[in-house]
Amino acid sequence: MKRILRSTLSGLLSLLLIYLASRLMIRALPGDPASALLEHMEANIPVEEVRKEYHLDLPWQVALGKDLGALTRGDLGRSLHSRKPVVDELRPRIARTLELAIPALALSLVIGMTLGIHSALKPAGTGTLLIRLATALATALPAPWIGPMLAWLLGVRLGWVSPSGGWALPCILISIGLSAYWTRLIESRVRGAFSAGIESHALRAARARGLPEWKILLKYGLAPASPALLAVLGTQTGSLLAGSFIAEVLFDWPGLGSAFVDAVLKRDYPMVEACVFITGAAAIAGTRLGDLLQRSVDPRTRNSNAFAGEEK
Amino acid sequence: MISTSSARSGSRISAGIWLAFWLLAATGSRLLTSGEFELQQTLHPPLTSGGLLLLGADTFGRPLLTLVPRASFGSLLFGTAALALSLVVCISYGILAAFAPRWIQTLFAQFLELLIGIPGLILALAIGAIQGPGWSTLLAALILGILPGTARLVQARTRELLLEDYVTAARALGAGRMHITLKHLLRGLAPVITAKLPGLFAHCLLAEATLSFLGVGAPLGSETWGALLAQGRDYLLEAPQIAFLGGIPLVLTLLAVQTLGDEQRRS
Repeated sequence: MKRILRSTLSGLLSLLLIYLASRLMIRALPGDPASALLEHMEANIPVEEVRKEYHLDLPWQVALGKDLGALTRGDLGRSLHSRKPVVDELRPRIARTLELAIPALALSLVIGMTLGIHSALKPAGTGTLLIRLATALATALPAPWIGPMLAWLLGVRLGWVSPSGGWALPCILISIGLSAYWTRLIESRVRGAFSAGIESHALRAARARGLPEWKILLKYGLAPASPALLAVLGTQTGSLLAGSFIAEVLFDWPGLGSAFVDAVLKRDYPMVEACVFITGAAAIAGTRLGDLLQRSVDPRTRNSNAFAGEEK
Repeated sequence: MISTSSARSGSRISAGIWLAFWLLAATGSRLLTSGEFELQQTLHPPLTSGGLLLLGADTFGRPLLTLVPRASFGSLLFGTAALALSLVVCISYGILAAFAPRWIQTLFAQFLELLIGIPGLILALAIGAIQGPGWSTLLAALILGILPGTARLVQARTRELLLEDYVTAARALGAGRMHITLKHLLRGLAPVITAKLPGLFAHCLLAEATLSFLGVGAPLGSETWGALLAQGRDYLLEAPQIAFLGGIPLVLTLLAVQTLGDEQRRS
């Protein structure tokens, strides 16, 4: 219980640090931040208004205090471009990103489980060799290349999916790299857990009872490995979002990622700050949550000091 | 078993051949061609005329036959330079952290902890927002992306090395920190770093391609893989060959580096 409390507290501290760091971004701009903000804007906003709105007229400690207060009210400021509250702009975007990321993750987990367990079961088989080749290839395919290739092949040539704006292409793109990652991970973790328990009486007894090998593998390989896999799932939240961001930009999907990149290119700093904070917060929360899940599922990790997912 | 080991050596050899061939082609194209372009040739279709235009041309009318290796040269050069620079930063960070007093160590570790929590892409976008897109943004993003993992490794290994008998002996003989660092630490760190090199290099190449593609890296129209891929996406319908040809060498190079890295880890 004490450990959970401590983990939550240090997680909150990291969130706070990310928030403060994202808020200091405007102040890190070269020269006078208020005029730097407006330098790339087409709209005519008086410098004084901007200075007041982003508390640039106050010393930074006071401004950070005010920002923190605003955060507790769920207020992340107004966009420089649309002049609408950032939170209102980003809320539908986040939903669109989740629409992509969650099915892609689910698909990859299913593929990873199937292929990974198959490879762990038959390490020398032809199927495993093929799987290994495919995962090696999939990890070497950069999204900015394979994305347009998929769009051209499936969208333009074969006409199976709509080449831009549709849901299928970005989802497939995210799943390719992710499936390869999970296949490799599940294979190595399952095999590791299995060979660690291979000498145990329980496993030998199970074999002696004539249980099929795959059942034995599930029980003595996958089951002991799954808490650690849960923790990895948490630490992977950030890269899942990053992968989805690239897919969004590639296929014009109006999610958080394309809002983020748009804001960066248009120098809409309040938007950028909010995107950095939201994504960073999601990544940290994912890591902590995975860690907590692992601890609650696996009693062996409860007394260890290190965060299981961060050791590697 | 014989078949897998021969397949392995086969893949290693083909990876080596590809890298050697492409390095030569990239360097040769950089030295021998001028990179001039003619706007009349814009989006010239492939396989319709011979000579330099055999593979068609990009939006600026640059023939793809020379542009693709030239872009590879740009990306490989940047990747190598960025990797070297980030290694210097990571090794200095790790060694400084290992020598520092306790509270500074905690501070250094906390900073890495925070960095490790944020995906590299988000960091890169944030830097891009402050500095504007460009080479320095790309470089800063790469260094910050590589730093957490590598610096931790360096720090941990340095702490181990500092406990070695020969380091203690050197200290007892009156060797200073500088001497120990140069004479013992760097030498002891070399195997650990070498083992990470292929992965880090692949990361640099991939990061350049991705960030330039998103528009926060190399400027549009510059001769790199990312810039070429960004153009390829914009003209996917009119000229799919730009995206296709622009990415093939990148994919093969990534595969080759990955193969050599796996091989090195096994031996």
